[in-house]
Amino acid sequence: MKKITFIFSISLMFAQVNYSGEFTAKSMTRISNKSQINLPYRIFSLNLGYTLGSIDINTVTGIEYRNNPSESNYVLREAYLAYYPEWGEVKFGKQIHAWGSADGNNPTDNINPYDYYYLFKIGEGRKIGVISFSSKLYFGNSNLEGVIIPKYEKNRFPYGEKDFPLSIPTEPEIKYPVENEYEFGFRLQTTIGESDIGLSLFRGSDRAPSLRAANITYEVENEFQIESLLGYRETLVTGLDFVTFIGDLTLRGEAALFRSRSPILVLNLFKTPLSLYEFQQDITYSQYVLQVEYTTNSDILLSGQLIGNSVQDEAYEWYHSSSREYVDFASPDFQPGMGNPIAMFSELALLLSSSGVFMDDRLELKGNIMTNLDEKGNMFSGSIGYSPWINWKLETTITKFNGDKDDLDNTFTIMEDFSNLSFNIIYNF
Amino acid sequence: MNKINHKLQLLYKNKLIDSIKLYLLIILFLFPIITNAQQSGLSIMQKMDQLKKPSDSETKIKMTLVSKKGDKERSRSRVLTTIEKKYEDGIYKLKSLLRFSEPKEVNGTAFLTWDRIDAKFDDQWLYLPALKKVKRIRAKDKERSFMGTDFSYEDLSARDLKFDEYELIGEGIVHGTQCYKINAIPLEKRTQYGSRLIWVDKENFLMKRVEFYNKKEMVFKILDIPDHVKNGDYWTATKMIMKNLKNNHRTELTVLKVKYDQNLKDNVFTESFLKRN
Repeated sequence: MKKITFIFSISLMFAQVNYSGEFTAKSMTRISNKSQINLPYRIFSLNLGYTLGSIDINTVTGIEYRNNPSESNYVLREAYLAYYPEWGEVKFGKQIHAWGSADGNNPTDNINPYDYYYLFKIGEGRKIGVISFSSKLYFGNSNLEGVIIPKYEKNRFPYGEKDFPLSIPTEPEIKYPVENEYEFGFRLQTTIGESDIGLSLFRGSDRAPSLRAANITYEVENEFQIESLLGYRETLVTGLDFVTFIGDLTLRGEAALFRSRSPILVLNLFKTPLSLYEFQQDITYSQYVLQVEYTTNSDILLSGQLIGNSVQDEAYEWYHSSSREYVDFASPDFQPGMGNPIAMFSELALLLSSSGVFMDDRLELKGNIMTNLDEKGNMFSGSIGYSPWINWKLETTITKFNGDKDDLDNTFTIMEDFSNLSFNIIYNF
Repeated sequence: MNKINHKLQLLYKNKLIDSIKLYLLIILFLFPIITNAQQSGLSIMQKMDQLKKPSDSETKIKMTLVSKKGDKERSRSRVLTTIEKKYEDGIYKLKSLLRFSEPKEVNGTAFLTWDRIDAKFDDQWLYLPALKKVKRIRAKDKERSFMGTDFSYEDLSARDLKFDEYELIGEGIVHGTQCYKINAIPLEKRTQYGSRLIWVDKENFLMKRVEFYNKKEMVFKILDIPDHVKNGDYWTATKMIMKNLKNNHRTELTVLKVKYDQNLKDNVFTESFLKRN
């Protein structure tokens, strides 16, 4: 063991070390009453890498900080070993993966759970690393990627955050944790002419909990109490994604079909109450994103995304857990447990984005408008970033939600109070 | 009346024949000179093109963008590494990888380009660390600015000699070096330039300056290459300055480090390597 440690230490001495990171100081002010929004944010992040020939060791760590009350916690976002032979790549450790062809909002990208504190970040910023083994094989114009996840990870939701309107007051108890934690996925991508096409398959457990059973107890005649018991459905995702070019336009598209089923409950004969009713659900739903993108002569990127989701087929059954007799209870509203987080906002949405850099990289302007095409509601965000010195950036962003006054359950209406003005001071090193 | 007409026609015909003879004589007399001048311009360009080039290279470059307002100059720098490999497989001309290391905000952002021989557009991929994703992108039109600099994609790609007609129009001194002045007029019209005036070092056949003219024959950009260094068999332009006369802006490329003929493997020019920092 000592010998291995010595060889490893010597190897690291000859390794090429690279690092980069970011300090961010942030404040968010509610537009409605100028009060502070106190949610945690990443105040510091550090990417540290060692390269020794075809082997890399990469870590991404950070500190999450809340301004008021002042509190911080250390986060290990990624730590993995990568080997790059001539035929492809092999990685093992806590990693963030990226599948799909669209810029964020990828329905085919389900390997990592989402961190809902960072819902409005794009890309890897809103994902949670998972311990996984992945390998990618390149052959001709194609590549095949396989991922195995031995340990299940769920989404992180802002439970009990009074400053986040969609927050649930307390974290629900998960009565039926995931039993089969193994998850796997494959993705085959190939180039045909000027187009790239990808096919993917992923099997795992939902990242968000859903109803698995109900304990119904009768206290007095005709008065009953319902205790909802949560667990996770098993989901199989079949995905298709593409990139193609039409003139100066780039088209990116993704579609995923989710087959989601409740696994049979494993019950303890002696502990399971007689008042327990099991909920079995078999549902097929789809999500898609179609992105059109154009870059102007002055390098301003304009992009539009049509984002949709719908339930294709739904079947459910309630039955008594002991007698296995079917009962005629209603099904709760369906919530997807995987896929694009934007699905929680709208069944059909249009997202228009633009971004450009001016004044020799000093000024960066960004704008986004998301319109709910299904119901009323929209979100606008505009951002100005100015870099007075190299590696320093001052950034201010306005985010405004407009809902429907006549529909208090509309997600955009609920989010109206989250409309805010944020100010960031960023230092990159 | 007919006789008069006939005589006039004969006179006119004779005069016409005499004129044609005269033009033919002038053309025949001038032809060797014109041909000589063309060959001379082309042969100089051929000598420049035949300078020994590496099969692959890795170059670390500092790119400084300088804007001028009145007497004040403001600059902003980027540091990037380009890795290139020539191909002779009949499919690709060149594969290249360009990775930014500074400013730190864009550290790791990288482009992979496969320059195909026959395709209208190159294959190009962009890696954005924030997305952790390799994106297939449409290669930019050659006329567009390269990453907001004063160089266009066309300026940075090698132009085949057959695409221009070269004329030696004189000599002059640039950066203390005696140079040939060659006017390059495009034969292939898919270019933003009406012509280019190229100054070539008489001794070593190195490009020292290029004046870029638009299609209205107005000079609008000047590329200066003041310094060259010989590393082994190869000449390296250690500094290139592109001045845009329209907006008083310039871009300076300074070579910080260069390595040649490392026998780079093909997997350097793949998505896997694009993601490695």
